[in-house]
Amino acid sequence: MSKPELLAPAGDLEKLKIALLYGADAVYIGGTSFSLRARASNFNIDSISEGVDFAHRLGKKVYVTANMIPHNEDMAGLDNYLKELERIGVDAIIAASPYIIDRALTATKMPVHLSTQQSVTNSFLANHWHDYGIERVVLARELSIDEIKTVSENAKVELEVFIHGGMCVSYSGRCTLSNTMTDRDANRGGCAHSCRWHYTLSKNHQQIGHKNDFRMSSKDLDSVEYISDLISLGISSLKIEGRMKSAHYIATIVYVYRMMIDDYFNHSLKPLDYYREEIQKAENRETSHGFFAGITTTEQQLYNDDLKLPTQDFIAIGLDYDEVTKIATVEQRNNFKPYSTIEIISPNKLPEIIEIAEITDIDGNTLDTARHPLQKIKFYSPIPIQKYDMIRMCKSCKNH
Amino acid sequence: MKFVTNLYYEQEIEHLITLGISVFLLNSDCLTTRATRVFSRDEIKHLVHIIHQSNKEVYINLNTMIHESDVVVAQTYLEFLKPLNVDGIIIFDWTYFPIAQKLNMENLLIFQPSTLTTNLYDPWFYESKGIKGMTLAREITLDAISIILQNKKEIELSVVGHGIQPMFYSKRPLIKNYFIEKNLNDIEYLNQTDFVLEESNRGASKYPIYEDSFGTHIFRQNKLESIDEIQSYETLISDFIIERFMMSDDELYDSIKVYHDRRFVDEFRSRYQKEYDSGFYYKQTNLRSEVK
Repeated sequence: MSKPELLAPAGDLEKLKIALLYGADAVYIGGTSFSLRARASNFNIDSISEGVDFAHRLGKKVYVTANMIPHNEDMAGLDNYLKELERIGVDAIIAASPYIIDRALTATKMPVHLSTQQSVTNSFLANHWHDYGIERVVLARELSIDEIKTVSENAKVELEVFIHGGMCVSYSGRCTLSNTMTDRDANRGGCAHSCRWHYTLSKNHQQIGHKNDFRMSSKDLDSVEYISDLISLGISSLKIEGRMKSAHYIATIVYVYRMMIDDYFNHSLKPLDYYREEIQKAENRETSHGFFAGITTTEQQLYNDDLKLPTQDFIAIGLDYDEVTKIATVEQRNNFKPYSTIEIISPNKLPEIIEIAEITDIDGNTLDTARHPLQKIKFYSPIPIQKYDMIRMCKSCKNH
Repeated sequence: MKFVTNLYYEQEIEHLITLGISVFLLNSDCLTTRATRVFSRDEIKHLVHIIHQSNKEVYINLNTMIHESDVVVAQTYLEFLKPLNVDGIIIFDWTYFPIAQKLNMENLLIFQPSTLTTNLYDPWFYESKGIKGMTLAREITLDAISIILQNKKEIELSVVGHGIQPMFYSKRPLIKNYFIEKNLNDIEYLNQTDFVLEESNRGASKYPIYEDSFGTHIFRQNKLESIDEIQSYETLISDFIIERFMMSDDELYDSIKVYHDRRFVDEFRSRYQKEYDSGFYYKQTNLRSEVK
């Protein structure tokens, strides 16, 4: 049995590097064209190229999404864009539009992955796309683990399965709530997440329940319970959703699933609650297992507040460490004070907890609080804090 | 251009033909969702026979998603349809294409995914597959439709130009789950056409929501009418589909009439105008400047 690829999202170059350093085997990114995240992307060809070089130096991969459902005016420059992606070494594109797929297969030799926007729900269709030249199919999120098993047993094509993150409530690509309600095109990167709003339900002009308490919003997907099954089914790629999420979120979720996959292959899986607790240090929405157990019930829906506080606050990201003086330099992301207990997350290591004493700014001025975003802060740390290490404030830290 | 609409009762065939319907759309009893009237295989066999006797056409409406266990059902159903010589099969899920290919039936398929057919390039792909036709997405403008039609090749292009407009299809039983969560267990929820959603920032808009055994659908607040717009594309499209779901019989008959005789336009509008609008014909979504 081979290890599945752990595939992570990256909204910018820093997150790309963090995802790969924290254990992703590949990242997917949206360029400034043809992507569902085009509106928010800052990945132009140069930065994609830098990301590809970084990934390839680590023996890892970068996939670029070109997964919008384009309108007439969106197609200009498609061939050139695809050829540029090929030239800079992008490892695959993820597409949904048959025309974009066709052009990628015709104009380039890049592998093409079929986006979940096409909602492939069976092996027959997956194999059809394989015969057409598609290397990998991203399965719809509406499949149970039993269905994934059957698809996997019958599919000739590589399969990718979502394991964590936000979920469309509709079949992906088959929703225009946002178009209707906000004039923002859900299938061209403008989704306003209208499915997460509060509604009032009426029947035959009579209000049912309370005003604004009809919710269709979904809890985020969490696959901790199903990772072993997915690995044993031979799924090629396990995908985390969240190109808009923070660096801390990406680092934490990748870190946990990396650990879990490696633990599985090392026959050293920990109790599942351990992984869940680690995820909760970053997760800000309730999670559930989506469709893995079958048709969704109330357990998979969000009826109350969308957001919950992560169990631990992300306060800084590591920049540098002086081995002689043991002074760490970090970049502030949320307020913290001297004499705090902090947790340090580093790639490939278990979290470590330390007490910090005095903190100073870059000029050595003592601070009562690190209160400025992106401010460089120094403090003594008995253990090394490396670039891209994540620093959390401990609320209820346990030593590992 | 042929007028297509759903048939609900055998007795209305003649009347619908008189009004101007050329193609009758029949819902299956196993692979059709958001359908208030479905037909058994025997009924379909019978209806195809009598509609063909009237020299009119029959399309079958297969608009569910095909999961692994549905593949056999879908194949069996196409095998059932093959000897009936239906004139078209409207499909929502592309899975039907490889199934139909195996049965040499792909030339009957009309791909109607609702949202995915939004540009002038994709019809070329579907044409290369040898299918009969493709229905344009609902969320594109009249200008975009016009450009697509002017650039089309041989594939038949259709529009759902009148009636309620689906905008969301979820496998989740959203009404059922809400009722369980709120202990509202005594209210019938399956196949009910009178539920609506309101959102406090959307004014008086009421969005119909419907749940059946295939999942939950949500619709635009108004139905679409194309009384003025149809003239701009009627020579370029093959089928103009009138969606009958959530429409009374009288409203359907009045709707068909208005496209065949403009003398009924004022009457139609005075009676139904509040329920209709022009959909996305003049509403550009997610303008290119935002995408950049």
